[in-house]
Formats: sequence, structure tokens, C-alpha cells
Amino acid sequence: MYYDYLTLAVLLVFGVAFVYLNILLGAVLFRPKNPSELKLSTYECGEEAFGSSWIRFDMRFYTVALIFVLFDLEIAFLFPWASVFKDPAVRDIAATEGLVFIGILFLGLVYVWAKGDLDWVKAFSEGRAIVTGVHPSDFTEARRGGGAAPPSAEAGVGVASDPGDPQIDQTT
Amino acid sequence: MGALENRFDHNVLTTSVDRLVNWARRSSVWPMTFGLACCAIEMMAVGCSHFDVDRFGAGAFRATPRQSDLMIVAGTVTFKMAELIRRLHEQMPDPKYVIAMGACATGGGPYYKYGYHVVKGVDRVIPVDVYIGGCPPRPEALLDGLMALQAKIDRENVLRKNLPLVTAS
Repeated sequence: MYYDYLTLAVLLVFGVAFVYLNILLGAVLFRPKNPSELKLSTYECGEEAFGSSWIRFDMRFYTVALIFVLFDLEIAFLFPWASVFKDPAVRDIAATEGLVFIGILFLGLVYVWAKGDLDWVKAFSEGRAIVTGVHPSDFTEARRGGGAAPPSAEAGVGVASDPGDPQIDQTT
Repeated sequence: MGALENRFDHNVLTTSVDRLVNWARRSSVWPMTFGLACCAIEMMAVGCSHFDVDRFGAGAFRATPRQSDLMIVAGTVTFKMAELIRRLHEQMPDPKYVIAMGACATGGGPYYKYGYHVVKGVDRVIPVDVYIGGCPPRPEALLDGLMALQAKIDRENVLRKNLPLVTAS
């Protein structure tokens, strides 16, 4: 019953073997082989290669690839589901099960979307300013009494300014 | 040609195989983009649709020397660049060819007299197969140079033995 597939398998094996053997024949008999130290050196646009070839890559590629793998597996699981869907004996169960499956993964999609992992450039939201207690007027108003420490230093916030430094005290 | 290179006498079989191999090699000369100066603009024009080098099979410009057959040195060769040209030429796999395009690559060009920074001709650094004159050469001239290179490839002995050079006595 499955002899057709056997024929196909044999054809496939012969096809792949034919191509591979021809390439091997070409490589052994017909390809020029003149290796030299300079020819085998690492390519770096003509310069001598220096430094490590391990570079930092952006984490966003990892995030995108991870999300892709998850939803690609979801699609892979949906294919057999779709192929048995029209069988009237399982249609109702298949529909509910399929919708539950898609629904759970949809919640995951909503989470990923809301967290901003689908944006290549994350939008800056307004409510994330960090409060330090330092006001720009501390550095712009003239000092009263000359040499006194800025009022923010009294508040206990660590502003790194030296009161004895004449240059800083004279800024207006 | 690995094990079979330049081994056989000239007979009808080896000449036919050589013609086939040479035809394959000259119909798919893939250049490396090596535009250094103004001649590069003319080389770009050759690569585009009006002058169309793709009809010669040479339309696949590779950015890396590892995948290219031909190095079109288009532009002025400075001393700083000469070391890089040498290394890149060495990193090209055989069989490789070089076209010196334009006056600067051929013999220093307009910088011949006062150019203290210019290598007077790229053939002081790498072996050149075809020289194309012009400043810059017209795109048709570059195509003519490419056809001359194809004629040179046609005359190569791949399986056949290279005949000894005959010197006039």
C-alpha cells in the first residue's frame, strides 16, 4: 500500500547522492588547490584580523525569536486540528478544545503586547520619572550669604558639591 | 583543477574539455566590488541596466573576496590601500583575474608626477590581466576590457599542459 512512498524514498536518495557525488568529483579532480598562509587568513576587509570575533548582539533579537518559536509551534499544532475539523463526529469537541488552546495563547500574546516586547523601540511613558529632591533652582539662583551650601544638601540628598570650592559657589 | 591540472597532451578530448571549462569560467566571472575612486562610478554604471554587465554573466558583484573570481581595481591605489589590496587578492580563491581599470590603476594616472601617496599602478602590488585606459574609461571600455579578459580565459590550458615559452634566439 505504501510502495509509492518507497519509490519516492529511493528516488530521493539517488537524487541527493548524485548531486553530492558530482560535487565531490569536482572538488577532488577539478578544483584548483593552491593554499597559502595569506589565503587562509581570516577575512577582515583586507586588514589583519584583530580582536575577538564574538560581538554583543541586541537582546531584542532573542525576544523576537522566542516569541516567534512559541507562536510557530502553536501554528504547527493547529494544522492537524484543522485537518480533522470537518469530521462531524468530533466537530463540537474540536471546536471547544481548539478555541481554549487559542484562547490561552492569545492571553500570552496580550501580555507580550502590553509589556512592549513587540515594539522594536520601547515607547517612553511619562509616569516613570525618578524623584530625587533636587530642583533646578538649586543651581540657577544666586547664593545668599556666599559660600553657604545649597538647600538640597540640608535635605539630606547627596548632591556632590563642595561648599569650599569657590568656582561652584559663584555659579548663578 | 586539482589532480588533473595541466597534465595531458593536446588532443581532441582535452581540447574539448578545456573549451567547456573555459566557457563555463568566462561566462560566470563574478567581480568583487573594489571601487576606490571615480572609476567606481563608471563601474556602477556598467552594473546597472543601460550597460548591463549581467548579460556577460558578470552581474553578481560579491562583496567578499572569497566568492569572487575577478577583482576590478577601479580607482587610485594609495600606499595605505596597497597593503589591503594585496591581502584581499591573496584571499581570493583560484582561478582569479584582475582588471586594472582607469589611468590611476594602470600607471598612477594624473598623480604620476606629484602623487607622493599614490602607488604608480596597481601592478606594482598584484598581477594584472587586463589594463583599461581612460580617466575614467567609458562603461563601454570596461565592457571591452571584460571581453578581452574573456578572450584571455578562452586561451587558458586547464587539462592540457602549458606549452613552454619560446624565446627568440
